[in-house]
Amino acid sequence: MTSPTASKLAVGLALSGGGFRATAFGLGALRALHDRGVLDQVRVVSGISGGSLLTAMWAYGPKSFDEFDASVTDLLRSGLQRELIGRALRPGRLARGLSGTAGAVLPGRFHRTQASTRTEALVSAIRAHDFGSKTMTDVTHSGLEAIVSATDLASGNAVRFGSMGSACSPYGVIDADVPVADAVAASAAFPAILPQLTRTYTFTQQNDQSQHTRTVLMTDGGVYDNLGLSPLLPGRSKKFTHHVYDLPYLIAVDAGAGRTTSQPPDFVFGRMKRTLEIAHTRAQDGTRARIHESREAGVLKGHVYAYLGMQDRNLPVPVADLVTRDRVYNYPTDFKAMSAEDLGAVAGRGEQLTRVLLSSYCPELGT
Amino acid sequence: MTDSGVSLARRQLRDLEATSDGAIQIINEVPSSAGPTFIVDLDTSGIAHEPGGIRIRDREWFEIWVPPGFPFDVPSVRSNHRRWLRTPHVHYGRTLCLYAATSVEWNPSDGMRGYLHRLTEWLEHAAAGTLDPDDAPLHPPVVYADLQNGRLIVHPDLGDRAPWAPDGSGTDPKTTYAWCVANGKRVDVLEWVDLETAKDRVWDKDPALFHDGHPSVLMPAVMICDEFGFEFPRKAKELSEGLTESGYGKDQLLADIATATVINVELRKKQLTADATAAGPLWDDVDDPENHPLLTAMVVATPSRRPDGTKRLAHIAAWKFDALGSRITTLFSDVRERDEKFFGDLTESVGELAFDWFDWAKLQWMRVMENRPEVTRRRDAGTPASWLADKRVLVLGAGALGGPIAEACVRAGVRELTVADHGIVNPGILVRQYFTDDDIGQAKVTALARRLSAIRSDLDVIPVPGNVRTELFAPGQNLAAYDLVIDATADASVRAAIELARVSATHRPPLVTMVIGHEADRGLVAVNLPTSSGAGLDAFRKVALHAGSGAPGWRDIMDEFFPKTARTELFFPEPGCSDPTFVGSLAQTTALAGMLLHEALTTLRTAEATKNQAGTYPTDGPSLFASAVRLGNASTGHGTVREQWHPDLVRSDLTGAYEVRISQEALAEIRAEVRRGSRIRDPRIETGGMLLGAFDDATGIVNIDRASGPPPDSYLSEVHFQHGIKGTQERVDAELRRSRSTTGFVGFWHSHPNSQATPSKTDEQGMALVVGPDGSSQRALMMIVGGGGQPWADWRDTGNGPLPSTYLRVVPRSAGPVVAGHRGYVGGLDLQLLPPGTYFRGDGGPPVQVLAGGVVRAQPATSHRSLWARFFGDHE
Repeated sequence: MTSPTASKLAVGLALSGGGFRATAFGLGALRALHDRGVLDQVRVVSGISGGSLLTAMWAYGPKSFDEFDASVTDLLRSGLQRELIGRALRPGRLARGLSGTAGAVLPGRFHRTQASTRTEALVSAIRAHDFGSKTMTDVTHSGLEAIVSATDLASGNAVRFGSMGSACSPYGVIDADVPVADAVAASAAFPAILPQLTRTYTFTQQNDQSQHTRTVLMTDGGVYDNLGLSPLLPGRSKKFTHHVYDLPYLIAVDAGAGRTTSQPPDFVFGRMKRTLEIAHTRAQDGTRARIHESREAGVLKGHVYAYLGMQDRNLPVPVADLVTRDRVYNYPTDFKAMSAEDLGAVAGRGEQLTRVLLSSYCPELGT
Repeated sequence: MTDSGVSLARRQLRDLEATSDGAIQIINEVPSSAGPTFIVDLDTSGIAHEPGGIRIRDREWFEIWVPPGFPFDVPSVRSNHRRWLRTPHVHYGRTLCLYAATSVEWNPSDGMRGYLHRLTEWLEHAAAGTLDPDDAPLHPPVVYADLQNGRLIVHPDLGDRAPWAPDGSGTDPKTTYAWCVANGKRVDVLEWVDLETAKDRVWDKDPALFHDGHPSVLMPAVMICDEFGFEFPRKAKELSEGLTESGYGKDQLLADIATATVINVELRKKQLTADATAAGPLWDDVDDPENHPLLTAMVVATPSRRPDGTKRLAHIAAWKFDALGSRITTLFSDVRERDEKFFGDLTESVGELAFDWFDWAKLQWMRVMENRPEVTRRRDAGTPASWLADKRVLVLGAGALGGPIAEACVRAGVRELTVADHGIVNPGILVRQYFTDDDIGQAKVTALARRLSAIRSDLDVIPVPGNVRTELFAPGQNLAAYDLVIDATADASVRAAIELARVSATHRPPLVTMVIGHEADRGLVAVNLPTSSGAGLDAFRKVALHAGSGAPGWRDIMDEFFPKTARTELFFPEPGCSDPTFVGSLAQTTALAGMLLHEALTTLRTAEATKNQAGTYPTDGPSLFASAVRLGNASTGHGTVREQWHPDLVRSDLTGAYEVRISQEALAEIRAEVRRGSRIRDPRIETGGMLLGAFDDATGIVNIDRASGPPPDSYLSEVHFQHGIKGTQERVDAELRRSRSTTGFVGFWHSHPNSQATPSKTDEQGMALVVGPDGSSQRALMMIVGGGGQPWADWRDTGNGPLPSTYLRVVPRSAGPVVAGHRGYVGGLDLQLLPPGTYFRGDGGPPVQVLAGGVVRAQPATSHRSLWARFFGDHE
């Protein structure tokens, strides 16, 4: 049933940030895409934070979907948090990283030595896995490109680590094959929890081919774009970015909870986290509108937007055993071990929404 | 004559002169009643000369004639010498051809400044030899070609008859004959023939005297291997001298004319005898009309450059002899015909007379109108309409859509056209259909065919009045007679009839189906290629499903063509039982007809390019295409939107009464469920779900548009599948709502991953009484997909290759309520009857134990996969 036009049905897949909630929700979405045969049609996968973890585990993980599924399930069940703390608490690292959380938001504290922060511990933790020991060009699946994005604190631009090359638009192209672990850790360094990741790269400016070395301080890619969609959107200019793809179909997997009411936090990090959440929600509304407009304008042939926080009544067709929004939307966005029930629910909703929306809005995919 | 235009030109020229610092000098103004000529001295120094270009001196004088209509009429310019004779774009030795098309190239506001600017540009190009060479200068000068001398329309290619080499070189002239038909002052060359053929036609027992009621006439045509230069002579003497130079002597010229005249005199006599009215009057007033040909004329063909390509093709000119010339040539032919031994001297003297006449006669050039494919380019060349050329087309419907579409087919050059419609012309339709008052009361197709047949001399449109369904689309009808069928009836019965006819048809020409909206501002067109699994009815179903999914650009199409409730405000233009129609003007309907046809032809031409070497369309490509078009006021930001589909999987149901069409989307959903089951349960566990689509008892077609997976309350094992009911009615209702009742419940599917798709005993039991959700027909379709072994695993894992094995059977449906455990629910398995054993549920959770008597017990909590492995052995 693989049609000769399959190559025309190139799909871009974006996996949003949101800690393990995003990883689990994304896993469910990937299951639905796998079942439907659409995963083979994905040409570019772009991930942020928790989504970047999933992006890396799929793009650089085992070829077999079942093995990939099992590896993600194991990680989600055991959690990164403890491993992280364990690594960070080693003597020496502890001493240098005491104020790691505050460092990310305090100017003047940027120039910290490497291997001293809890984010460095995250790098080590990721590197301990097979996928984390690879470099960005080393994608498992042929014909697939992977992008993992972080945010450069100095310029406020995205740092895109990709299998086709890595770059940060104001500085140029990074002349190195970046380790997957660095990219994922940088992308997942949520400022409220983890300090920034510091790396020194040689950049080549695209316009004049000039080279310079620069140290970049990177934080969670979600600060810039928590959906991972921006490198996949149509109409991007090659002049400004390295990552331009011609993708008629977009599948966005968004583990956002939507607008929620919560008690106003009364301590500084809580306030900051809440502020970020509000900013994300607003920015995501804009990105969602942009996809919709691209579709209306015919620039996109089709799109699926699997959104954890979507209202259940808005599903185009009812699902008998639907995992409801209420069941999962307030699952936290950290990297703590997930219970089998929570994992089943979050991943289950991801799978259900993706399957239903795919069948309703892009039935031609996977035919 | 108004002086104002001339005054303007004079003032503009003087202004230019005053500010040109000597570059422009007006030498003189020569008045004339036709407008003055200004002699202008231009500084032309510094114009670069290239090989092949003309030589320009440092200053050149030009004679610029300003017409009284200036600046709306364009001046003309001549050099004051003949040095540029016989170079491109120089006519009559001196006239410079500055503009190819004044209507677009001449801007009156630019005045004389613009004109001199153009002249300078022309000189630069001419000096560089870069004026595009084309054949325009070789056309006979318009001033000499008088319509009174007749028009010669040339249809057939001269092709290989021309004696010159492709580059135009050669020496020997050659004579051929133009077999023509004359209708008044219009003469059409129908064929190039040799002399023997021409004679045979005239002296045959059944001579070819008339064509379509008009007299035949023969013209000698001499083909010489020289260009005439860039102008045609005005006098016969000059022409004759030119021809002699090219190896075609005066005596040969006279002999050829005389030969043709003998034939034409004979033709004329026979024509008068056969039908004096049809033979028509002689072209010239002569004393002895009974021994005179209809006309005496001659064709001369010379090799000519073409704007495209290097091969020299014939440029054709023709002149007709005046009454005297005609008499002399007739006389000459007459005496020559007699025995030369007795009349030798006379022949000679008449010949001399003819030669003398040649010396002072003026030439009467005929207006040649080219229709030869070899030298003309179709105005629709390269457009999608060119797909229609030489096709055999059937147009159903001769109304607001069918009429303009049939006409477009005729003009695009179809080989055959059949138009079918059962309607008659009533006065009201003249508002927007191309009929006339005289046509009222006649069958539409008769009037339409008559009008369209007059467009081309080589095409008679075939009208089929009467019922389209019974006349043309009865089952078993052979559609091989058409290369394209266009259904412009907007009639649901016709669509259904075609759908049915195509089921059994051995030959399926491409089918175009079109409708327009109730306010004539939107249209919908579908194209089914021969590889398509359906026809127009099927196409519109698929459009409804697509539009119902909320696809951008299709939402208003859903409301227009698939409204929630049928439109009740039908428009009845005439009292009594007339067909309801829509309100819309000729401008709207004709615009939509054109847009819809253009869309269809664009599709057909694109698809044509995908044909394989055997000339058939690929079976693995898209085969159904639909476009929605809108007029401006209906534009929703989308003008035209397009969609395409691959063919359905077509199978016959076991009873043979139904054709089952399974969409690619449904197949993908079934495969996705099989993969999902394999992933979360075990590859050996059956799975299944509902089939969503529609039964059409009129055509005997079952469409399966979508497939669902097992509801959570289903029971699944290696040998049983019992479909649950949870959420099924809701799902079916949602589909009905979304698709405006296009798709609903049609049946159930389940998999046999371990064996062929043949029903088990329990399947057979279940089929005896199937209950399904409400909202569909009284039948249900049972579908089993299976295969087992490697083919099944390949299909499941890679999607390569077809579905290994399918079983399809239409069974009656119980009218009972849908309740849990209802016996007769899919598979016929009431839980009571479910054999005891271990079963998965449809929810993806761990398996359960079903005990005898329908008691269900949960398994102890453990990994369901390992549990399954314990029961059935580890499959990997």
